[in-house]
Amino acid sequence: MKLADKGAIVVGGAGSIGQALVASLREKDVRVAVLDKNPESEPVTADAGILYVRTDAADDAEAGAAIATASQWLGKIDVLINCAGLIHSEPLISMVTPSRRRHSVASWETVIRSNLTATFLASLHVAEHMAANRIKGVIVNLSSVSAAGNPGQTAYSAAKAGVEAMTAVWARELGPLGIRVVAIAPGFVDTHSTHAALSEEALKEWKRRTPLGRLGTAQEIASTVLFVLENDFISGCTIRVDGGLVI
Amino acid sequence: MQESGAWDSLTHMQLIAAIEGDFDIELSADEIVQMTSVAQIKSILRKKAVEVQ
Repeated sequence: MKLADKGAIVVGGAGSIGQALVASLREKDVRVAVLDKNPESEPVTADAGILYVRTDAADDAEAGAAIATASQWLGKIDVLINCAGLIHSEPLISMVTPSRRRHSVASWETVIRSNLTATFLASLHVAEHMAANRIKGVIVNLSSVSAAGNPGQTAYSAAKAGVEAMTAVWARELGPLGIRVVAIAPGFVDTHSTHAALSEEALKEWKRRTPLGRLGTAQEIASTVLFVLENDFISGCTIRVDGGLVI
Repeated sequence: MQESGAWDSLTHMQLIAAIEGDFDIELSADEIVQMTSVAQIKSILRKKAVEVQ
């Protein structure tokens, strides 16, 4: 896909990886609509070729309304990037904290909602738009190396494994329409949410276990997304950007 | 086609992709939805100046 003048929606575009993605897309002259739960601006604002829409993408009605607003502003949606998410670490059963022995059901539902339901709903609305308008677009879903099953991250691992499964399903279902669907699975990336979810000690250990010996950068994830968008024969796969880390 | 137990959305889209590829045409979403029988497929293709028997 030639990116100039295309229209893209970035769900979760106000986060660390999202911001790097939006900047990279703008450098390629892509018009971008950012859908995010926590932008600092008003409910809907536009600035420097970027539309910001405050929305809870895990709510069907809100996601539908936000994507309709973005569609109207963009003209058409060629690209959807799902990078909304919430990293959460919690063991299934804790043998060291008696007061919180079992994995919280509330945190399970929050993590599944943020990482899996939001991706499902945004993709549902955008795929419908692409199919109805015969747009040969691209959907990129942000997964994680945790999809392989990271101890201490039941909900997050399950949600990201679900994202990778949906990617494979949608690539087959939407491929005949010319729509590509790809997942990108970052390893540990130097972002605010990574530092919020993991202690410095844990991060030091992950760096030690990563063959390249460091955290990834948001820019390295953004450049992989651009590669996926520009290569018209990639679909249905998960691309790992993890410094060689195996969970 | 829809009366066939083996017919589903995925099979339908594979047929559409094959028709578009073979005849070098692009069908609209409305046309795709209307293609529920061989007769309707032929009718829509004729409207797009495709020669069919």
